[in-house]
Order: sequence, then C-alpha cells, then structure tokens
Amino acid sequence: MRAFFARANPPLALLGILWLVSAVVGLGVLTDYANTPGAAGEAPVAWPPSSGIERSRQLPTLLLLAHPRCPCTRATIGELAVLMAHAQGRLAARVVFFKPTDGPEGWEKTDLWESAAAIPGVEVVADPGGREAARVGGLTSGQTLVYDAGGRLRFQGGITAARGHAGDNAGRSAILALLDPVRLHRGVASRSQTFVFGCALRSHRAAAPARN
Amino acid sequence: MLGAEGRAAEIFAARQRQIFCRTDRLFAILMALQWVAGVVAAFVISPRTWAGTSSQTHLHVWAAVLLGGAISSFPIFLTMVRPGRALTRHTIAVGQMLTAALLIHLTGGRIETHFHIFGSLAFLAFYRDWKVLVPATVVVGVDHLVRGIFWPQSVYGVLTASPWRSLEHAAWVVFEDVVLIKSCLQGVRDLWENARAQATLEILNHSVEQKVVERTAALQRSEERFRLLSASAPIGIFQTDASGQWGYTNEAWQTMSGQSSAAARGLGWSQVVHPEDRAAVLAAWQAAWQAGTEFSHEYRILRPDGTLRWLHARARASRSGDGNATGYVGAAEDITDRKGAEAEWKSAREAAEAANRSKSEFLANMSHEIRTPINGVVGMTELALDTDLTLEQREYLETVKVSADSLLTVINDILDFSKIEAGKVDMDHIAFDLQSNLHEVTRMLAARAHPKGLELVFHTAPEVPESVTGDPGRLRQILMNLASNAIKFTASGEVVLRAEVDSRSDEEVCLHFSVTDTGIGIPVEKQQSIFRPFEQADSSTTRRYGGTGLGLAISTRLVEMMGGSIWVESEPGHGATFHFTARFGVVKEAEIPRAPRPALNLYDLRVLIVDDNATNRRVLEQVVTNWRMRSTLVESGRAALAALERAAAAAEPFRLVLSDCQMPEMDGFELAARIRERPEFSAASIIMLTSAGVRGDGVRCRELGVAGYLTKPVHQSELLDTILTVLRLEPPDAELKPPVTRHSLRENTCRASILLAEDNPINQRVALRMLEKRGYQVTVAGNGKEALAALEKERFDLVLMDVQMPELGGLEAIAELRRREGAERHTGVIALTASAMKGDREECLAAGMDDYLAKPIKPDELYAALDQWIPRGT
Repeated sequence: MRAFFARANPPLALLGILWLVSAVVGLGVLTDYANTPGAAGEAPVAWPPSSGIERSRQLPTLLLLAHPRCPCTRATIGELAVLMAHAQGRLAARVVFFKPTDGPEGWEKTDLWESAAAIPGVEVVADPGGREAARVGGLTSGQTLVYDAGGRLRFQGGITAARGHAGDNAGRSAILALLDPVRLHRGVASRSQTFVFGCALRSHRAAAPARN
Repeated sequence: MLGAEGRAAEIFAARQRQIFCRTDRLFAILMALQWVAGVVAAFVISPRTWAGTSSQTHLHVWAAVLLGGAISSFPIFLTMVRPGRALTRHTIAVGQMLTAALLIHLTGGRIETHFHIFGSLAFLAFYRDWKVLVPATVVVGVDHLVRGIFWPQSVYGVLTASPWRSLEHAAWVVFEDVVLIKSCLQGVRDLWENARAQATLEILNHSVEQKVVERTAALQRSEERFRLLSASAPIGIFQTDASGQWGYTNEAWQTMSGQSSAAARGLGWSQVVHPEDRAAVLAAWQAAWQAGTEFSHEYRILRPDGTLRWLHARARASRSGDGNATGYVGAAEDITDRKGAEAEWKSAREAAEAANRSKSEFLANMSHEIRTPINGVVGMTELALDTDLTLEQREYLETVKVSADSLLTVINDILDFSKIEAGKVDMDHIAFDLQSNLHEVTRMLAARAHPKGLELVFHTAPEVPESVTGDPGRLRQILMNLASNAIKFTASGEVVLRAEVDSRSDEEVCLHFSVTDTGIGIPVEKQQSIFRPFEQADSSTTRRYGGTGLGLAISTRLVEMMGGSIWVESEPGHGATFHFTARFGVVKEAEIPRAPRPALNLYDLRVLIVDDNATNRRVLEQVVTNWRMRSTLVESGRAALAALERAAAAAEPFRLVLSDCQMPEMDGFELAARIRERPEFSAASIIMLTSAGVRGDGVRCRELGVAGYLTKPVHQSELLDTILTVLRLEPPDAELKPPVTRHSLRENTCRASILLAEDNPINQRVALRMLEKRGYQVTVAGNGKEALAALEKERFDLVLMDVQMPELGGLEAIAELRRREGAERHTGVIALTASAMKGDREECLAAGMDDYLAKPIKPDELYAALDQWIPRGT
C-alpha cells in the first residue's frame, strides 16, 4: 500500500478524487431531481358539474391529467395499466391529455395517447387549452383524481413514487384500497393524497412551472 | 543469460501487461460506447421536459452528457496515459460500476439492468487480475446498500426492500466473483505455464541455433580443410552427384589427366581414358554407382599431349542420414611407375621361379641320386651284420654303417632345413593315433639307448588323447631329434620322454612334450644359440659328438609351424630337459577307433613292480593304476621277495610281477628263479622288462617260467595285451610255454605275400632281405608294368612300389591298378621313393597309394608300415 502511494502521481490522484466526487455529486443531483414532486393543485371535493367529461354513475371514476409529451408520464401510464388490471372493472378511468388551444391537429396524439388508449376501461380525451384540468385544479402531468360513484373526491395525487419511476407507489395502493367493496359500501369518506411527479401542465408564463 | 524460470517470469510479465493494456483498451471503447449510448437513449426517451406548450432540454440529457462523460472520461484518459497500470484498471472497475449504478437508477431499478453489473464483472475478469474485482464489488455493494436503505425503489423498483434483498444481490455478486477469481487464477496459471513453455522453447531454440552456428562453422572449417587438402593432394580427387555425373575435380586431376575441370564434368572424364579401356571403365563405373558399391579400377589414360599414363581410380558412395547415396567421392592415383615396377617384378619373379624350379629339380635329383646308393650301403651293411662275421669284419661293417647313417643324417638335415627355409614344408592335418606314434618313436630310440646302457623311459599323462589331428611325421621327427640328442649327450643314467596336456579347448589341444636326460648339460649362455642353425653348445661338441647343428634349428621351425614353442632347461653336468609345445586338432569321439575293452577284469588285481629305476617304477605304477590294478613298488629283487612273502602270509598273493631285467645285486632272471623255487608264490605270473634284448634271453625265460618278455620302453597297449595274454595262461605249466614277446604278439597275425616293385637291383636285394627276414613271401617286379602283370595273376596282401621306375613309374602303375580294382577290391600299396621333396607324400596319396616310405628304408620303419597295412590274421 505504501508502495502504491509512493508511486502515486499527485495530479493524477487529484484528478481521480475529482472524478469520484463529480460522479457522486452527479448521481446525487439526479436522485434529488427524481424525488422532487411537481406543483400540487387543489381538486374540488365534488365532481365539477361544468365538466365536459362524463362521470360514471355506477363506478368510481379515475381522472388522470397528462401532458402528452412529458417523458415522466410514461411511467404514470404504465402504473395506470397496472392499476386498471388490478381493478378488474371496478373503476372507470378517463385520461385527459393537455392540448394547446392553438396547437396543430393531433399535437396531443403521442405514444402516450396510444398507450393510454390501449388500456382496457380507459377513455382518452383531449383537453384543449387545459380547461378541464383547470376545473379540477390540475397543475402537474400525472395528477390523478378518483371520484366515487356519488361524485365525491376520494383521492388526489400521483401514481409513481418518483419522477419517471415505475413500480410500487403509494398512490396506486391508495386507489386499490378505495376499490375495496366493504369500504365502498360503508361509504367511508376518507381521502388520500400523494406527490405528483411530472411536467407542468401550464406554461411558465401562465403559471409557476412545475419541475420535471 | 537468464535461467528458464527468470525468462518465464519475463515472458509472463510481458504477456500480463499485454492483457492489461488490451483489456484497458476494450474497456475504454466500451465506456465510450456506453456514454454515447446513454446520450442517444436520453435524447430518444426523454429529450425535453415540458411546461404546457413550452419545453426545454431534459435534465437526463444533460446528465447523460455530463455525468456519463464524467464517469467515462477519466478511465479513458488513464487508458491513454497509463495503459496497463493497476490504477487504470481499478479506475475502470469503479467507473464501470458507477455506470451500472446510473443505469439502474435511470431505469427505476429494473431488474434487467442489474445484468449490466454481472456483464461488467465478467468483462473485468478479462484482466486475469482478481484484485480488480474488489473495488468493483465494493462500489456495487455500497450503492445497493445505501440506495436499498434510503431509496429502494431506485435500485429494486419497490417502495420498501428488506435488507435480505441487498444481501441476496451481494451474494450473487460474490458468487460471480468467486467464479471469476477462480477463472483469473486459472488464467494466471495458464499464463505461467505458457510462459514457462515458451521460455523452455526459447532456450531450446537458442541452444539449437547455437549448435547450428557451431556446426555451420565446423562445416565451413571442414570444407576449408577439404579444399586445402584437395588442392594440395598429389592425387586426383573428384566428386559426383547421385546419378554418377562428375562435378568437382581438383587441380591434381587436371594436371594428371591434362583435362580441364569443365571438360571432366558429367562423363567427360572418360574422354581421356584410353580407347581400349574406355568401355570396360565406363561399364565398371556405371555398375558401381547403380549398385551403390565401391568403384576400383586400374586403367590407362591418353593425355592430350599424347603421353600414356596408368591410373588407379577408387570411389566410394557418400550417403545421407537415411543411407541413400548422394554421390561419389573418389581419388585417382598415377600408378604408371608402379605398373612399370610390377612388370619388372613379374619378369624377375618368373625368372626366379624358373631358377627355383631348376633348384627344386636339382634337389630332387640330388636327393634321389644320393639316397639310392646310401640305401644300398646301409641296407646291405645291416644285412651283412646279421650274418656270422669275424670280430674284425663286424667292426669294419659297423663303422661302415655308422658312417653311412651319419652321412644320411647330414644329407637329410641339410635337405630338410633347405626345404623349411624355402617355405616348402607343409604340415599335414590328418587324424592319427598319437599313442602309437609316440610308441614308435620310443621303439626306434630304444635301439640307440640300450647299447649305451641308458634307461629309456616314456610317460604319457592319462589325459593325453589317444588320437589327434596333425602331422605325425613331423612330430616324430622333432621327438626323434631331441631324444637322439639326449641319448647322444648322455653317457649314463636315463632319458625320459614325457607327454602332457598343456591346454585344451573343444577344437584344439596343446600338448607339452619334454625330453629329459642326465647328460653333460648345456651352459646357460648357449641355451639360446643352440636353436640357431649350425650352432652347437661347444665347437668341440661337433668334433666329439658329430652332427650338423641343424637338428634343433629344424625342430624349432617345425614347432613354430605347429603353433608351439621350444625351450631348454639345463645345468651343465646335471643333464638337460628340452620342452616343446605343439597344437593339434581334437578328434571327435566318434572318429576314434575304439580298442576292444579288456576281456579280463583287472580291477583290484595285485601287481608287484620291481625296478631299480625310480622313474620307471613311477611310470609303471601310474599305468597299472589307470587300469585299476593295485600295485606295490620295490626297488630290488630282495625287496620283491620280501613283498611276495608278506603278501602270501596275508593271503593276498600277487597275481603279477613286472620286473626289470637289469638290476644290481639280483637281476630279473635271478629273481624269477627265486620266485619259481617257492610254491607259495606260484600264483604270480612274471613279465620281464628289459632294456636290451640279448640273444638267449628267450630260452632263459622259458626255463624260468617267465610268462612275458618285453623290451623297454614298453607301450601301454603292448603291456596291456601282454598282461591279458599272460593272465589267461595256466601258471603251473608256464615253464613249458614260450614267453609272450613283442614278436610273438605280432607273429600271431602275419605271414603275408608281398609284391616288391623296384628297379634298382641293390635296393631290390636290400628290401627282399628285410622282408624275407620277417618271413614274408615276396615277389619282385622290375617296373610298374611287371608289377601290374604280377597283380593280374596273383593277389598280394601288400605292394611296396618304387615311384621312380623305367617304362612305367609307380604313380602311373597305381593309377592303373586302382582303375582295374574299381570299388570291389583294394590292395594296400606303400610308395617307396628316394626323393624327399615337397609334395611327394601328397602326390603319392593322391595317386592312390596308401602310405609312403622315404629311402633309405630303415627296417623299423618298414616293419611298422607292414604291421599297419597287412591285414591281421593273414
């Protein structure tokens, strides 16, 4: 070991240390970025009557607000697919894709749109100008709301544990718990809320940008 | 130079460094590719982050570019500036694992991305340095542990993770590490083995190269030596290829033949060969190289300047390691001078041979011309001596006989010596009865020894074979010479002949003969020179004892021709012993004619030996002991009587008394008379042994009841025959019967008819008298023609045929006789010749004779031959 250090080249050693530090710092920055949630909006406790989106009268309705070009939302769509598979028809889902008012035709029809539309029990709708999102206080892509059959808000937040990270997460667990028949029958009015990880649904000029 | 292990370490280190550098480069490329792939993936998957309708570059893109670049760049930098160093590969290991951590993080802990870790570890094993796995494993472990605790979703994709999961991940990594470490260690071992193998190979190669260098140098030296030798050699040297075509020729060849090297190439050399010799030389040359055999030929060449030279060319095939001929190397020698000398020598030899032939013919004629009259002188003198003569007449005739004998001896010695010196004596190799031969010698010597009152003792060791292969005549000649000398130089006492086996093998027996006398002896300083021709111990010796001084020289030459040696031991005044050895062929058992076994069992038969001579007593004792008889030895007649009395008293009487005749105080006859006076001794048969037969002895023997009477020296077989004959006689009537003697033994077997073919009237008379003296019926023929006519009319038991006769010679006559007889009959024919030249004997035997006698004919030799060839019972 002494011989190793005796042979060590000081500039090279310094360079090595710098290298290690930069790698660790870089990894730390990435970790921090992945765990920093987007801006959280406040959803109405009851389904907004002015909403143009049809709510199910028999089943709880899941409303997912998504930016069609947000890379992080790919993990959210993936989690939605898992959620819908677990729900087994006990949940009606609507994915609302943001579309600029003056955006070109089909701007919202990205691979995310296709992926969401392919999930059984999921209805995909466009949200020109983000009006529907604004009605439910949506600020960040991936924000998910669950209203029961009576139109009451039962959940709001994200269904990924970190930015762009698929896998187990608190949001999915909470929604699946809501679908418990006993709980639904008893009409438990508890609400759950989790962090949302995704792109901002509005421009920085229109609102404070969400970090993505 | 390093040893094998040191060189192996060098090779190992170099190879290891090669591996380190190569793997460094591979990782540098991989990391660069990973960086680029990360950037591309970031651009594809998350190029931008959005806020409503506005967007900006996604942080992941910056992270891919900057963080990915940061992680990859330093290891790549080290690969470029410090390739193969431990720092570089350890940095690469850490960087690769940080990349894996980043990948896992960015994919949200997708389990598939964990394979990047396993792949990277396996890749790190390319270094074959297990230590590089340590920092990589540490980075993976720390990353999993920290993130597993604080943010499990980023590494496992779940919200919560048990510490066991981190442990399980670590365990899998360790598992792979164990496998990879083993692989690394095995790789290092393989590397070492390869390094050692290469080091050994290099050393071997070095050694081989060294040898090649040395051999090349040696070859160069050898070539240089050959070139110098070839250039300075006085003989022509040439070299050919495998097909026999000449290539190289040296300067001497060019000088010798007058032909240039270029002209000699191929078969050009044959152009200088003399036209008369060319075809034969080319044929011999082609035959030699086609068969791969040696070429050796003498031939003439015709040089361009017209001179003729003789050459002797020799060539041998040079061969490769596998034995194939690669060419010929040859030498040509100018033998013109030798050829001239040979021609002169041949001419000289022919002249010498012609002269020699003349000399041989002269010798033959001389031999014949001298021996023929001497034969007459000796023979007639001997016959005259057997008649009634006055004292004076006898004295004159005895002087004549001694003079004739001396003259004959001198002539014989000179002729014999000249033949030996001229190399004209060939040794016979015929099987003969050694014992009989030796006996014959002693019998002939007895006649010389007994008149001087000498005891002649002959002793043959039991192991001496009965028969051997060799030249019986020459053996007899040597023994006769030595024993005659012994008798000549001994005034009183004894002469003892001994024969023993010196050494023996399956094929050959070396016999040791000795002749001991009690004569004047030989001074030490003369003991060597007496074996040289014409030398005697003292010049006065010649005057006193006579002789040519050639006898020992002849014996020496003959002994050498028989593969032996001769020497003398002597002390002046105390006699001398002459020794010689001679080699003979062993006659196989089956070839030896077996004498009939004694019909009478002599086992334990008591015999009394009476002789005043101790040597005689010992010899007789040994002889009778061999026959398993029980002997008692006494030295006088008085002691004999005492022994007989003791034996009678002990009821073990002697059956046989062997008594010497001449003894002091009481001689053999007196002893016999005393024995016959005593009835208690009647069981004993008496055999008298005398050194000199005296007229009237036979009558005395008969009167005294002596059963046998033999003249010494007594041959074993003769003594045995006598004993067997005597013991069958009835003792009480013994005095009425004649004693058994040598003559009675012989005369029981022969009264034969003999044809004598002899042209010389004197020799006719001599031979006739000798034969008639023995009672033979003799018919005389004057030449071969008459002999054949006589044989036509009558059958003879034996023919004595002179070789040199007018009209029809002996050789022609015998040829005709054998032709007439064919295979049905065979008449014994003994050749008589006065010639004593080389090849006479062989010529006679080849012509069909059965034996050969040289003139002058001695009665003893004649009678011995007659005894041998006339059938018994005739």
